[in-house]
Amino acid sequence: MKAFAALIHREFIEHKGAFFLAPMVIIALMFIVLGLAYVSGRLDIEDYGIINALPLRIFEIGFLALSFGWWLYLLGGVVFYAADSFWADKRANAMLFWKSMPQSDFKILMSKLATATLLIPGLIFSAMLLSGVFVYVLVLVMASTTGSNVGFFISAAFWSYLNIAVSLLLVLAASMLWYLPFIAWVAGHAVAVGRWSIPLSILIPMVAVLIENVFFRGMGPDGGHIWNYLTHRLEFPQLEEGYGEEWFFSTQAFDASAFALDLIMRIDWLQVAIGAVFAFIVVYLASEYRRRTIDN
Amino acid sequence: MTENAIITAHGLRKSFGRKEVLHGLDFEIPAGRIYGLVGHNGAGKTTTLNAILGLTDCEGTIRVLGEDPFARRAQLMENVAFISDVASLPRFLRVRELFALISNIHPNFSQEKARDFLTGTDIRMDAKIKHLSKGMIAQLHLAVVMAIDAKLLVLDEPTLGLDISYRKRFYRRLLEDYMTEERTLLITTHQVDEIEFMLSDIMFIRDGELILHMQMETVNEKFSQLVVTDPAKAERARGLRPVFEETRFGQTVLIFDGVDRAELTQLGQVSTPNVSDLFVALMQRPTANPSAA
Repeated sequence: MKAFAALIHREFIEHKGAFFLAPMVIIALMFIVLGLAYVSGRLDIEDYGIINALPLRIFEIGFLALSFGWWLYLLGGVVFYAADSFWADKRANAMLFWKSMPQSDFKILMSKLATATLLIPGLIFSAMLLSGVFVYVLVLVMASTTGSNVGFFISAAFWSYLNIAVSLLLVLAASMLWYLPFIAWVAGHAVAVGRWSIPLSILIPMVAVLIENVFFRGMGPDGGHIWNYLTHRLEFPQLEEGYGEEWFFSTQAFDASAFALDLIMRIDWLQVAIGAVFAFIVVYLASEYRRRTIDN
Repeated sequence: MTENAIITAHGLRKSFGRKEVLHGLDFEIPAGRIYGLVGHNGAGKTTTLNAILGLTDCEGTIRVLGEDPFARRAQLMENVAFISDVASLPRFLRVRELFALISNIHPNFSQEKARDFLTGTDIRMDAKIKHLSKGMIAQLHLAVVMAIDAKLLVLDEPTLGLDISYRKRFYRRLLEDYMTEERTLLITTHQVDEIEFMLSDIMFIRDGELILHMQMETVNEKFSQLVVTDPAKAERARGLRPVFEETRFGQTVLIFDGVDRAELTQLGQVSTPNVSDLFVALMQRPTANPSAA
């Protein structure tokens, strides 16, 4: 376990620029811009009467909107990480060094998968939390300037913050489980072809879709079974008609327990299990390929 | 199999596509020896080392410390250290991060020893590896390897691209600081003259076959170099069937295998050929002595 943690730590050192430093810089810039706007009196709060009426709702929407941005950043980043990291040990002949260590190829690749699905989401979760603090401060400043009930906002927004934070953690965990086979699919190809695995990972299923449509046209749903399955698996269950949509059109504060229940109900857990087995098999095959190749 | 053999190989074959690069090597390497594996580019040195290190699968049988290296590479690396390319250290790490990482993933690595080995060098613990010169990276890699309590150390062209002073320092350090306990060392290098002083055994490989495998003492007894200035004596020397002949600055230099030195002394100046001369000589004939040392 100590070795596994050390291997994850080295992934952090190698990729901290994209998943730690860049988010921190973005958040620091957000705070700096807010501070400068406030100090220089360029925060035109008076024009936004809605703050006066619905500061909590503005906070929740702002927090969720920024977190959604981070979630997209995470999904894109993890795909690039998978494509890069599963190949990166070949860079500058470093594979020979890693092969001289008493760690199996499977363990090394699993540490990379763990980095993609645990460490990086954890770092992005921190960025989400800091973004929530940013929105909290922003709305607090606006509310205090427009004469809203600041006392109520401070306590209500605090509870809302906790509810949203817990929900975001669940979303991150669920989305990593849901997208695990896709991450492993890109990563598995990367062992052989490096960052070209991203186009290759799209090309292979597209060719399969094409073949199905050419040879078995009309025997299945529009677009074919493969196409329908892939589009179903690519769509995160919570994005449409979930608790989020219901909450948005209501006046209730965000409720983590209702969100969690809705999320758990909406996820196809059989597909999650199939995806996990698929990911495991892909990483195992990738490790066997890596075990047999020392070329750079 | 010899009782204390660290490495045993029988019928070791390896093909890349249709091309067979190892043609059934048989050898044993006993514990506590310093072996030099010498051959031309493409002769099969690195493939042989890769088979020993479990980096490639081969036909035949190979055992390192009693284990099948390809099947159990990760476990084997607890007792085997190797440098295949000094530039292979992960460049994104700082020196202290590298030491911390290895101490967590290698049970036989001593961070203390590694730091000691760096004492007196210009390498700072907070330096990024990518900012070190090639010579410094070689020193660092050697420090890492020497801080591993391994039974077998394999070095594949460890000083490639380094200048002469770094190369000499590298081997001196290796001999003085590492070979103090009973360890086995296997080295391949093109600069064979630089390691000759430390070798106990030598193996020449040509086109995937071992053409010489013997102890250095035996090499010294078996092979002789004769330098002749008189053309008539040179002609007589040719009658003794030299394995190699060339002309250097007007003198005839001949290398003999198993010819009585007393007989040669009458014809000219006799000495023991150095390894590089012997290598050049033996690379040109079918086989020298493929039997084990």
